[in-house]
Amino acid sequence: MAKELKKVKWGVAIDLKRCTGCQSCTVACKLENGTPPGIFWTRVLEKEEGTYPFAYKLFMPIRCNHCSNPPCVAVCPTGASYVRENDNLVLIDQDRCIGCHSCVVACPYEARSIPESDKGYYGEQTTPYEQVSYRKWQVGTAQKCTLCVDRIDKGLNPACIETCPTRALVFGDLNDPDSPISKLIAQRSHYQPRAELGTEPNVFYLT
Amino acid sequence: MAQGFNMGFRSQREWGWLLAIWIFLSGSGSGLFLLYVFYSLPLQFAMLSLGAVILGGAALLLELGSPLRAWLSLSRLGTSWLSRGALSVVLFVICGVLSIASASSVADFLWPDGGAIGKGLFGIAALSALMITLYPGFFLARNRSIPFWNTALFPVISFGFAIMGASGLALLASVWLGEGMNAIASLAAIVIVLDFFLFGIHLISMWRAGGAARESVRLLTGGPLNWAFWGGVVLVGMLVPLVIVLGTRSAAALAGACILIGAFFFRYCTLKAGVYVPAAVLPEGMDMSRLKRTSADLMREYAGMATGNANRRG
Repeated sequence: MAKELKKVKWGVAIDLKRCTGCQSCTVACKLENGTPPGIFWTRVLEKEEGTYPFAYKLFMPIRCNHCSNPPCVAVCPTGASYVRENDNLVLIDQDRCIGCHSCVVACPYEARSIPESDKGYYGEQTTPYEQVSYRKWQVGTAQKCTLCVDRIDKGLNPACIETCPTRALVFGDLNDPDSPISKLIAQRSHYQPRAELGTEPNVFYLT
Repeated sequence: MAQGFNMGFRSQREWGWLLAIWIFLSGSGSGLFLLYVFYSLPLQFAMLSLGAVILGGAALLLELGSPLRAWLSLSRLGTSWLSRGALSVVLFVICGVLSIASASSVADFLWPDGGAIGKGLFGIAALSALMITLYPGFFLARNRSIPFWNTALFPVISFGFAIMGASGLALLASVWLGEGMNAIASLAAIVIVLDFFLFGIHLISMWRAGGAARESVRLLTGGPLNWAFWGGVVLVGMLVPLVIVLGTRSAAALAGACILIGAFFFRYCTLKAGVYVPAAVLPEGMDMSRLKRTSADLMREYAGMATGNANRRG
């Protein structure tokens, strides 16, 4: 069966030469989406390399890759995980998810989580901010980066992209050859994480 | 679940005791139904088989984050092995109960035991039982992100341990076995030896594969799971019952209990040993020369910078 060509294909390019590991994207995501303690929809991984005195750190922001062939959607037994019709955003219907953990295990990017409680950051009592933001998800069901779908639908950039102080994150339509992200990918050497699994990830790491 | 910020190997943390109990009980229970069919065992074994699957189902419901919506899991039969497994369990329980009722003459007023309806129900129950023994292997092997599960051999091994567990259940209830005892004991011995070699081959090939696959083997054989693997799976689950069934068959129930312990720990260990290939690993052959300079390169570079600065100051 021929693959349906989507009108818009959202993608993120991450410039590893610009990323300083400041975790601004991690915090911006927390602020925008109000994820519970211990759960991060985007985070910057760190790795120390070399030896003293010539040791250095590698930083690698990771997140949902909004794959064109997402393994998390195929394993979902209820159809709660789905790809949005008009673009490639991989989303979760909170009212259909049964919390079987299949998608969490299947994601090669470890980008999904299932909160076990609705406790906030400051103990049993949630703050007014947490009470509002926790309405986006349910305890016991899977959650993940939505690429700030609400913001995208309003024509805004995702919160992590907006906040990156070094402009290491670039967001845009991969189907548009004139978009900044398409131009960057065309100009720079890059790779897609775990692309060998056939997931067709839409996050590109520029090296 | 707390997510890490390191690029190292991470094993999956989502599935543990509860899923292991489900796969163990459903595999052993449905496998026992297959033994009931092929060895014409007494009816009590079919009841035991149904009881094990239903008990395992309760453990699976506890594993779910939203168990009240479990019925929705029947809606993606085309792509999801969990969905196919759920349908098999529903069919097995319904057709198994009706088939047992038919065989025990409880449902004589509805349909005769040897009639088309009775045979049809029995056939569906047997096929569903076969599916329940098979699907967990495919369900795990489908995860391309975890190389220890993602092999063609893994579903075969999973099926082998389901049949091993089934023979353990049958031996544990050996008071009902009668003349079928020798056949089941022989089957148990054959399956233990086969599983031992198949899993051994799997471990060797995973070790040789390196990376996350090797890390899985390390977790099992020399890491935090080694007590469960060597003690639970190999010693108690395979070697002890093999000696018992090859020697004195009067202790068949003890052998059965040991086999069940081994079958359970196999499920637990293989689940916990699922290690991801780190998503953040840089691809082989990528030019990262600016990041991966040797100490000698850096020293030369620093010396050059120092000379340049001195010249500028001078």
